[in-house]
Formats: sequence, C-alpha cells, structure tokens
Amino acid sequence: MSASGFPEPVVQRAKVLFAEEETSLHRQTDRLFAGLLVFQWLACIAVALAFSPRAWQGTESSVHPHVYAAIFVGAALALPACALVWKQPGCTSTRHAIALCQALFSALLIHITGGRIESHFHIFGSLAFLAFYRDWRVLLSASAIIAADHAVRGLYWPASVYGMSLVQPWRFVEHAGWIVFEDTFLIASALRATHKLRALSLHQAGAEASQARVEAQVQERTLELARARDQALEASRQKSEFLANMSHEIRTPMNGILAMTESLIGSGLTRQQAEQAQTVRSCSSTLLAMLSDMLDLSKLESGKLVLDELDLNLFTLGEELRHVLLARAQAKGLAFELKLLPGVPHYVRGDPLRLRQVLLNLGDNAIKFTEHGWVAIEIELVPSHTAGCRLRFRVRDSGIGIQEELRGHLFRAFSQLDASSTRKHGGGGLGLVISQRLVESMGGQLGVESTVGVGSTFWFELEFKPASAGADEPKPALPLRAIAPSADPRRLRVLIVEDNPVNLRVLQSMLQRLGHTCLSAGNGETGLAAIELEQPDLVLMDCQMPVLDGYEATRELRRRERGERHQIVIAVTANALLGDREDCLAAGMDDYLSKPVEAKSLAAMIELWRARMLPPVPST
Amino acid sequence: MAGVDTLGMPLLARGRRPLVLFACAVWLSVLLVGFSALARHSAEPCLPALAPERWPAAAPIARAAQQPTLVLFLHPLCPCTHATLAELEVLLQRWEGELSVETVFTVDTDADGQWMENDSFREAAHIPGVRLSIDRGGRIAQLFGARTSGQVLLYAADGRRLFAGGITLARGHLGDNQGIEALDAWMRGASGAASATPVYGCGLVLPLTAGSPRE
Repeated sequence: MSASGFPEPVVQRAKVLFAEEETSLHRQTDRLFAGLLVFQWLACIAVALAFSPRAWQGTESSVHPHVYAAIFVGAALALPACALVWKQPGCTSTRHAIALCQALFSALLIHITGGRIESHFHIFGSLAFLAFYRDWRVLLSASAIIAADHAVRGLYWPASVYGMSLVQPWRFVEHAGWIVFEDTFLIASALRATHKLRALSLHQAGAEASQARVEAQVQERTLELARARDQALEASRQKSEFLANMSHEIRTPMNGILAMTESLIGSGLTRQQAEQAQTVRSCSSTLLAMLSDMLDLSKLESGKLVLDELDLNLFTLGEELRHVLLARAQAKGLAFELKLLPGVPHYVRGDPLRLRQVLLNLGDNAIKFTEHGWVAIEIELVPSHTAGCRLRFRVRDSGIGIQEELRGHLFRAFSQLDASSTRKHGGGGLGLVISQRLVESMGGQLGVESTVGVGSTFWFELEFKPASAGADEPKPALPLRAIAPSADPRRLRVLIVEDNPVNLRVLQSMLQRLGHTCLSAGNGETGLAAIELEQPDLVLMDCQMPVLDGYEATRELRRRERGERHQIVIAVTANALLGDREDCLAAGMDDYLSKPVEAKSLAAMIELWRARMLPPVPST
Repeated sequence: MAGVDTLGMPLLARGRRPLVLFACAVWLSVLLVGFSALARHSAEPCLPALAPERWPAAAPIARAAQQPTLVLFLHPLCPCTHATLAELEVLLQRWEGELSVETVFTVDTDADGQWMENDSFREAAHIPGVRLSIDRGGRIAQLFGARTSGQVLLYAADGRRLFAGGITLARGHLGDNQGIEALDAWMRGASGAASATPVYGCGLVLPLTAGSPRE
C-alpha cells in the first residue's frame, strides 16, 4: 500500500495514465501551435504587405525589406517548428522550440508593425497560449528568450525595444517584471491543473482496478453459466434421444400387443375371453395415446416442430373429423355436428396434420366431458387485413362447463381440473396443452368460454395464406408403377421390410386377412434387393433397422429409380414424435403409418394407394 | 532508426545527435542573421539634407515672421511617413500655435491616383495647424536640399536654420527619439540643442539632376 492509500499497482497505473494524458495534451497543444505558427507567418506577410509593401526611391520602387523579412524570417520560425511537431509530437524539445519561435514571432511582428504598442500584446497572448502545455518550464523558456532579447537589444539598440536611445537600467527590470507578473499566474494555473490531473489519474486507475475485478467475476460467472447451459443442453439432448428411443421401444411391443389382441378377439373366443381381450386392447390404446401425447409435448417444448405449408382442403378435413368424432359421440349417445359456414374457402395453405390434431383433441375433449346433449364444431370466415383468409374454429359442447377460477389450470401440462383419486375422466392432461402449443405455433391463440352446467366453447383463429393456383383442380396422376394388368387389382403384392419378427407377423397377418400377398425382408439392404427382384406393388418400410435403415434404403431406391419409375413406399414406424412424418417424406417415402398399426388404417392406406396405382381406364 | 519510448515518444538515436545539434545551430544562426539584418536595415540612417543655413528666398512656401517654421518633406508612398506624422502630431500637441508647420509632399510631375489619394495625405491634413504643399517634381525639396522622406528643417523667425534631421528613432519606428527632443529644446529656446539627427525614410522625388539618395 502506498502513501496515497492506494495499492502500489494502482499508483503505478496512475502514473502511466498521467503520463499518457500529459503526452496527449502536449501533442494536442503542439498541433494547435503548428497551426498558429503557420497562421502567424501568413499574418506577418499580410501585415508587411499592408504596412510597408514597397520601398521608394523617388518615383522608383522595390519590394520592401519587411516583406522579405516576413516571408523568410517568418518561414524560419514557423516551418522548423512545424516539422518538429510532425516528427516529434509531444517531445519536450518540440515545445521548447515552439516557445522560442513564438517569442521570436512577437519580435518579428513588433518590428514589421513599426513598434506599435498594440503589437506588444502578442507577447502576453503567446505566454497565455503556451500555458496550454501546463508545463511551467515552457513558460520559463519563452520568458527567458523575451528577457534575453530585451537585454541584447537594450544593450546594442535600446530604441528598438524601449523607444528611446538612452535608457535607464531599470527599464529592463520593469519589462521583465511584467513578464514575471503574468508568468506567476500562468505557472500557478499550470501547477494546479497538473495536480488535478494527477488526482484524476489516480481515481481512474482505481476505477479501472475495480472494473477489472468485476469483469473477472463476470467472466468467471459466465463460464459457470456456460458450463451449466452446456450441461442442460446435453441433458435435454439425452432426454430427446431417450424419448425417441422410448417411443420406438415402447411402441414396438405395444404394436405387437394390440395386433395380437385384435387377432385374439377375432379367433372365436368365449364371451368372457373376448371381453377380457377387449379390455386389454382398450388399456393398450389408452396407454399408447398417453405416450403419444407425452412425446408430442416433448417435441413441442424442445422447439423442434416444423410446420408444413401445403394446400389444405377444409372440406375433406371436415369430413375426416366428422367420420372419426361422430362415431365416438354416438357411442356416448351424443349428437354431433360439424359445420363449415358460408364463405369458408375449399382450399387454404397450412399444415393439415396439425390442424386436424388440434380439432380432434378439442372434439375428443368435448365428447369426454359431455354426458348429455351435443357437441359441435364450426368453422367460419372472419375479416382479415391480409391477402389470405382468417378462419375461426369453435368446438362447442353442452357439457359440465368449467368454473371460472379453474380455467387458468386448463392449459398447464400434467394438470387436470379434477385431480382427485376418484376422478371420473381419464387422460394425462396433455391434450389441451398440446393443442394450445400447436395453435400458438401456427400463429393463433386458443381461448375458452364456459358456463358451468350449460357447456363450453373452445375457439381459436388462424391466418391462412391463399391456396396455390390450381389447388382445387384435379391433380395429375403420379408417375406410379401401375399394377400388372394380369393381376387381380384387389390383390396386391406387398413387401414388408421389417427387422422385428413380431411386427412382421402382425403386418403379415393383417395383410393376409385383407387378401394381399406378402413378401418380406429383414433390413433396408435386403429390402432393396427384394424390390429389384420381386417388383412388389407396394412396400411397407420400417424406419429403424440394422444394416441399412428405412430412410437410407428409400433414398437409395429413389437414386436407383432416377425418376424413371416410382415404387410406392409407406413408412411404418414406431417413431411417433411430431416431425417424424416429415422426416419420412423428406427421405422419399410416399406416406406414413404410425405403429401400432390398426387393421383399419392399414386397409385404408392400401386402398388409397391401390386406387392411385390403377391403370387409367381407357376411354370408350 | 530512432525508436520510441513507452509512451510512443520518439527517441533520438545517439548517432544522430551531432546532426541534430548542427541543424539547431544552423537554424539559430539563420534566425540571428535574419533579425540582425532587419535591425540593421531599420537603424541605418539615410541621406541627410544639404539644407541652406538660411531660408531660401526663392522658396515658394511662406515662412512665418513671428515664430519658428518647421518644414517636413515627405514621400507620400513611403511606409515610414505614418511614423513621422505620428511623431509630428505629438510634437504639435505641445507647441500648438507656437510653431508654423509646412508639410511638403514630393510627387512625380504627372502624379495622380495612388500618389495623391492615400493615407499619408489624409493623416497630414488631419493634424491641426499643418499646411500641405504638393511639390511636383521635387523642386522645393531640391531648394531646401532635402533628400530623404521624413526630413525635418526648423527655421527661426529670422530665417536661420536651427535644426535639420529626422523625428523617428528608426525606419518607420514610433517612440521617443533625439529629433523630437532637439525640436522641443529649440522651441524652449534652449541653447546648445542638437542641430542635426539621423533621418530614416525613402528617397524623395527630386529633379533628375539631383543626387540620388539611398533607401
């Protein structure tokens, strides 16, 4: 610790700061003086031209010696000093040379103005200007030069400084005294400013030291935070990986359980056995639905959801919803209605899968919480300021309603309004949360209005871009490989590429019941060979397989086809996370079935693609 | 090559120091020579008048019969004229009404414009009690033997020449000087006052036959 109370490094730093600031000041003042000296040079020439332009000899004239003096003596004063400022700014020798030149400029100016008393003020102005250096030595240099000039002139030519030929010795003292008088104040001012600069440097050094400490702490904390973030990201990545694996690992056996249960139900069981098997199927379905919800939520929360933007037929979507929900409503004895109000366009651009999922969730929810009465879905057009259209979707029911104070809990994950152990309605409490997140990701907001005992209305509004030109025109036929004309068009040759024997057996069982012929391959590589050899009508492709997975196998297939033919490939996978369908389509597959595959879904899918593969009917 | 110190200040290499010192010496010598030449030019007296001892009878300007008459010869374009007129004004403030003053501007025979309309005439006309004369071709100056602008001649009432010299202490330089002191002394009637002082200024316009004063 130093005498000033600051640590020694701070004091040392303060010295450096002071020296830097002082040098900066000296350099700045040097530059000012360089400008001033050049200005004075030009001013002296102007003064000489104004006061004594020409010397006369009768009627003849020549340039007055004062003009030459102003040009050449002025240059000898201004230019070397400027060169020093250029080459050695801030140096001690530079400012002392400037002091010398400035003092001699006073002498030159006084001389060429004929000793006018006004020009003597230049001396005092020069001293004040030199005080900008805050260096008392510079003031002494200039003062010494002025005093020496007076002394020499007083000795050899007194008239040039005192205005008279005979001068008393005290005149020199008087002139020097006035210089000292001014110097006293200027030097005091310079010392004071220097003292203040030292104090400021010390404070700045102290502040820098504090800042450095704070910055070091911030850096340390930042590193800790970065480490924590990395750990969190790694944990999140591991969680996603785990979920993806779990999705596959759980769905595969569930697929087997459901399919085998279904087979069991259709295998002539006793009534009691059939009821038990149906209970197994129902429990498995519920378990699978909850698992799907959890996986969907996980995907949404990780921000990995990518929305599709496709031409979407609202009427087709409505029909699908009606088909699914009507059956469920009727099973509970409820009326169900789906209305597309006038003005709703046939086609818009959006993500049909997500929109269908939201409406199905809300519809399912409405049916679940309605014991008597009805459930309705309405789609209406609302005014929009954009080029597209804005649609409002309402899912209404005459159910039990929701108390106002409980509505805040509706959209919280894993939260149910009736959390009691005796609650009547099942489910994981994720449906509404997923719906809300999906609506938000599509740019809307999900809202609810409800009256207890009367019913509830869940609604949301979404902005859609207009459908692409020709969206409602019939689509041209895909370049599909047509079914062999000789074959029975209802019987297809289906290649199942699947590594899991249970899944393989399930699919084979279903396909055989549907009347199709089955071929099989254990991984992507053998699958590609089988496609080449057997040329099946349709391929059901598992995604996760050893040797060559379904994605890579499909990519390779598309490369080999080179656009000349198109083998229909339908992904059948237990990867049930949101976005997996997009991955399959991106790999070149034509459609997607999620495991466990229901017989009805498989039949519908095959029927859809069989229709597309039929050769065009010749016109008669 | 010279390096820099910790603050970026250039350091002078040892080998270059004699060169720098030599350059400084040359520079200071140039300044010394310049200022010395300037001082010498200012302080070097010019040609004094070859003035007649008595007032020339042929002079076209009048001499006062009751008081001394001061004749000042000026070149209207000489830069030193302003200093001389300033000194004359100071002198006349002390001897107002006791001294008759004739200012003679020597100009070219066909002078106009620049010669006749300038500050020298206006300044001279502004001094109270001063009469102005234009001496075309310099015949009056020749008559009085004046050769340098700023030449002052003081004649007594009886026509005797009392003083001949300049009233500035150097070329175009203001300030107390021996010329003014001598005139003051003559006006006070002091015996033994200086009768001549150096004169500083340009050469007057004179007839071609006249001597050629140097500037």
